[in-house]
Amino acid sequence: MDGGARMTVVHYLNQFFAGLGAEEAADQEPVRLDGPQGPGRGLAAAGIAPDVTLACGDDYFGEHEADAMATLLGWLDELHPDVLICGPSFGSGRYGYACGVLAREAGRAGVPVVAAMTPDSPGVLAAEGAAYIVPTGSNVAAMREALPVVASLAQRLAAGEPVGDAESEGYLPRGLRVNVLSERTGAERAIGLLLAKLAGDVRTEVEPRGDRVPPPAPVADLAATKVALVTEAGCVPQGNPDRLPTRHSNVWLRYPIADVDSLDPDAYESVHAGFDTTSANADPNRLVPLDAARALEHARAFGALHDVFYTTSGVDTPVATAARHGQEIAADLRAAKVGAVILTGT
Amino acid sequence: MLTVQECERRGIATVALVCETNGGLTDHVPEATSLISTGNEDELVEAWTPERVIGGQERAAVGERIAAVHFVGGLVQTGDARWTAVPA
Repeated sequence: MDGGARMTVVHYLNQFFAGLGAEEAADQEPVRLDGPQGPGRGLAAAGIAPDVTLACGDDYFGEHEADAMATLLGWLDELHPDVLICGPSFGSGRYGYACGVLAREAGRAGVPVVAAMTPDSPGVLAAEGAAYIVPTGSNVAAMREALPVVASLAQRLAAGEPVGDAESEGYLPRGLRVNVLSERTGAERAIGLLLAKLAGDVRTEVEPRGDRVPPPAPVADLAATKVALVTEAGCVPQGNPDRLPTRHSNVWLRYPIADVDSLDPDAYESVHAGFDTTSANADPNRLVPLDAARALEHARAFGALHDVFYTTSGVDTPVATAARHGQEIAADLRAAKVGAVILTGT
Repeated sequence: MLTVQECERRGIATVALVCETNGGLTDHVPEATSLISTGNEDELVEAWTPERVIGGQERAAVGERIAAVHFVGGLVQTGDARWTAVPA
């Protein structure tokens, strides 16, 4: 809008809201229309007029999703919109789903997207956090309330202006947490929370994610089990040849130990940035207990020791990244028929 | 978190101040019902270039986005800053 820069606004609707017909037109293939249609006129009145309206029948999208998406994304690729607006689809399942899928793929392709639907719409799950979704009521009566919020978000996204947090802006959380400055310091808020707790009002600023992992069952037959050594202690060959990050690691590595009975301090070290590594570097078996594991292996305490050890540096690692590391290492262990792991942490 | 757990088990109402990693916590116990968020360590923010660097081996390129935690003292769990993390 400033400096004469022209922005391109694209609006997605189903057949009904695009004025192409009701249920009898639900098998409508994707169609590209000029200018605002249906609710697009409301967006224009709210200050953001769609240049192009894309529409698709609810049934067509459901039955030919790949084809519909190929056509719609092809048009978006041509149009290079500054913002894509989907819906509002209110409580409609098929329309909401189509909005969510298009929002997700467009969002991942770098197009800012605003959609609007009920919080329980299948489109919210389908969007996977790739779009700003404004919550609405279940039917078209909620249009008047939804459009100004949609328009306000879309205008700022199209202009590259910042958008605030979910609660203050009125969109559904996308699974991200952004830093904001509170009115009060952490210490002041802590005292407030504690006084409330003592008065019986228990509140928290952080809700833990429900991903608790139950402990595995005991190993049934250790004598027949291959055991692996895994560590997050940042143990690597001297000189860190593969450049394992010392913190905030986004990789895990594995090193052969088939012919090694003990980790020599001249051959291994820890690059972990989260603890004093002096004692660990004096004897790297304190990080990866290979010497003790070999002794137990010779004493037949378990079947065999896996011929590689796994390592990463577990400090400042986002939980999502750590979970991915765990899944990848576990898959590798499964493929090698490992039945038990000694996991050393710091 | 283990300190919170033990205090709560002994009947001592406890609040902990913690940094988040994109909404995740490195550990959590069911007894930790009152937590203060001192911010999301992993939010990517613009790096600035200091005039002088003392020590350290890693540095960000100009224009590169870095995790907020890499600003020394930017997000601390001591409670003397006003940062907190909210859903977005």
